[in-house]
Amino acid sequence: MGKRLDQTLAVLNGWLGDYLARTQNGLVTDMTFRRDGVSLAPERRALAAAYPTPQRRVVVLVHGLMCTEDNWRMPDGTDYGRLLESDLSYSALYVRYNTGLPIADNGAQLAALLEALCATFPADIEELLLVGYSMGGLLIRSASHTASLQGQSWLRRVRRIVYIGTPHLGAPAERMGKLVAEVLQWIPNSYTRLIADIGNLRSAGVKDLGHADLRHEDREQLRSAFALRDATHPVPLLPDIAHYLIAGSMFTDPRLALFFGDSVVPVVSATFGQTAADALIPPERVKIIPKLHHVALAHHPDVYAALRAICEEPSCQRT
Amino acid sequence: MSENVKRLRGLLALLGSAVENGASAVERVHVATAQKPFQILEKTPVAEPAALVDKAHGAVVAGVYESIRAVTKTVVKTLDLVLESVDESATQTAGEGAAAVTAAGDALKNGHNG
Repeated sequence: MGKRLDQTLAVLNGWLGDYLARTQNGLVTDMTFRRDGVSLAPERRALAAAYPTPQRRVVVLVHGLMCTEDNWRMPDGTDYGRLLESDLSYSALYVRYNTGLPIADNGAQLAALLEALCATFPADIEELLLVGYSMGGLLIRSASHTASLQGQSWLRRVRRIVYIGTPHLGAPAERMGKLVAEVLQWIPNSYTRLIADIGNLRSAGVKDLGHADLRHEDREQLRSAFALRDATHPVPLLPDIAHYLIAGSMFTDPRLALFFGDSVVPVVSATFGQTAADALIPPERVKIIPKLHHVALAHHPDVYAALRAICEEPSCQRT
Repeated sequence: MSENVKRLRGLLALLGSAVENGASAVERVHVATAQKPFQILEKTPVAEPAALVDKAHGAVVAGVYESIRAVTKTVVKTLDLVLESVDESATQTAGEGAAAVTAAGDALKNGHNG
């Protein structure tokens, strides 16, 4: 019952989360760390109780749109965080948040939460590994951007970030939805305008996915729904961190894979335009897993194998 | 306030808002659709009586949708107050229960000591 209610609230927050927050509705989800089905305050006593043997390597997992941390659960009941704990001695924390808020707002909240974590975790954190699935990856990028601007200390502990199925260059499904709503709004008919109004009810978080808008000023830019964002994103990946991209592909044909990818996020978006000659990330840090759709990326043994291989690499030292 | 009551009140507010905004959206479609035959009748010899019917129709439609919004607001407000009072009673009962348990424990301790 509890999990089904949590899942229902996650969908509601993804759809109307910005409205719920604006109206201070009791159904709104606050951003928290989660562990074993309960919220975990970033306070020393609570963290010490939840982590009797805290590790110096900490992994933080951030879920995607309309999900909860339960989305990481694999069929055998384990998940990427638990496996990294048992296989490579990490301490795992899961973030739950209102996916309907603008990505910029969630990114700022995540940055503050990570800062509090580093100050209160019972062990001195040597490495903070960030793993983001879908929208979660964009949140991590937004949080990193905020932290670099504000000089927050947690960023110095991050050596690797893993993005799983993250639409770095935006999601075409959202751009198409926006275009359809605009066309319906433009038709001088009250019925089509009503349908357009209903379509436009989607949250700011969903709208941000269209062009992967990480800052408020990105959202305010006027762009055509048809325009494909070029690879020179206004919020580039931070250079001192090793960025790893994991994408799924449902198609064997490379052209189809490029544009349809895991059926939600095209490979070209999930790999930050890495198929282009001027690749920003070394090709060995880009992993495309065949025959895997978007939803399965959050809880699949092949993705975990790729994640584990990344974590087993010697990490670069931050300057 | 308990988490469940907070959520119930949130759900109630959301439902109320959905009915109110939904009624307004349907009203806009209703008025726009109903205008079409009246606009045609304006160009015919029955324009004058048609304008009267248009006015009466507009008043009835506005009244019906406004009453839907008013009833919804009243029902939502009433249920919200009921939930608030249920939550307060539950908190009070829990407080009294805790006090009774503490008093019983103290009495038991005193009995043993005596």
